[in-house]
Amino acid sequence: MKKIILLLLLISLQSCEVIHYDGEKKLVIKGFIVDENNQPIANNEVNLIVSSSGQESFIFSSLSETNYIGKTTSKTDGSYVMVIPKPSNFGQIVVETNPENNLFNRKQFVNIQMNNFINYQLNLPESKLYLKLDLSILNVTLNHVTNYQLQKIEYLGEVANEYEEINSYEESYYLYNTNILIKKNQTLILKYTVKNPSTNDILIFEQNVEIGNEPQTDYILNY
Amino acid sequence: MKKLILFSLFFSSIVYCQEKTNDKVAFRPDIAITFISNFYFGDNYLAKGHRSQSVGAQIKSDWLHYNNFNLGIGFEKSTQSVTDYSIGGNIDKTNTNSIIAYFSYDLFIKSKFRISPEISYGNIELRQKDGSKFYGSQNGNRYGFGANLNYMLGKYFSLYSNVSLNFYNLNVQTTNEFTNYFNHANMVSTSLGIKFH
Repeated sequence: MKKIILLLLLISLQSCEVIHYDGEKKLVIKGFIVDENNQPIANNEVNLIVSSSGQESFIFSSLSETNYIGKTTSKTDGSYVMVIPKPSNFGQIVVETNPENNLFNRKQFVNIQMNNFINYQLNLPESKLYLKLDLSILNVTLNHVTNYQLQKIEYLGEVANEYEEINSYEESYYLYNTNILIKKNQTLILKYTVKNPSTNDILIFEQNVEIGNEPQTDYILNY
Repeated sequence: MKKLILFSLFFSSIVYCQEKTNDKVAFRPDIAITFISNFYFGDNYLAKGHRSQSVGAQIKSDWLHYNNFNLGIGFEKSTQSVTDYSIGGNIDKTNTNSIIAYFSYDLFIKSKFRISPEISYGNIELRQKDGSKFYGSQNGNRYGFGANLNYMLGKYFSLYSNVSLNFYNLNVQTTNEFTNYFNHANMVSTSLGIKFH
């Protein structure tokens, strides 16, 4: 029995990937943090996390390595700069421009890869943060009333996108998000794409969704 | 072939002895073991991204002597705490390892006291760690000049001190904005210890 346990442990440990760093190559990450009125947010904590691909094992749920290698705060003009040693053998780099424990919504740029750096530098998109008090959770219930297949949902308006993919995940967890954070008191455009399975035609529709002052908004999408 | 002849001539003149000779190259190893304290300055990663002071240990050994000239090698290891996590990474400390060759001249000798100006050149390696996690190394070279001070405490050992100004050149590749910041460092080194003759 001991031998079997040891064997299982060895097999599971083999799948644990170690992230390496090249100290002679330094990566520079730059960005800006603004609030919903496009005013710079100063002294906001920014973290950079490098994680391995997280090979699944049948003993442990995941053996991924996570390194909190970057850490800074935004300046008075909302800008931030981080310099880190170049990682290799990693799964993704994540830049968190706002943790969850303050007045603003959480914000992360996920799945950053080496090909996003040009001459050792990455300029991230502007990070727009919304006050949590000004946000409503939009729950979209999908109601399949036709023979169309839902392909994609997009939300056009003031959306607090908590996880922004710099590169799309190869195996996307979902084609559409039905639970998102949006700013209160706005008219949101819900744009959805469907496919006619018999003709393979792609159709795009838009619907206006009125968002009030409630902390939660429910909407039924008939497609 | 010329190099081989020159090499042979050079070493044929070396006298393996324990007594100091003035007119011949003498192989007379001695060793100094010291504590060192380095103060980094300027606009660079070791000065601004770390506590400006590093502490460590150094071993130096004079090997060859000719008249008042001395040639030796040294090893140095020191450690420095990281203070700026933004530029360089959220890393705990940087360990510095050096191997140097140095050339000194016994300029002032009086009774038990001796002052010897020195120039040095060598390789340097910065190793960054946070706990047990290794975050890579940076390599380059260093050069410096300073002076050794010796005070004989007995027949076989002396109080040894060194003060020197040193410059690092490293091989970091990054954006133009930060190349100079990571590739250069300047420091004043002071050491104190015992030299065994």
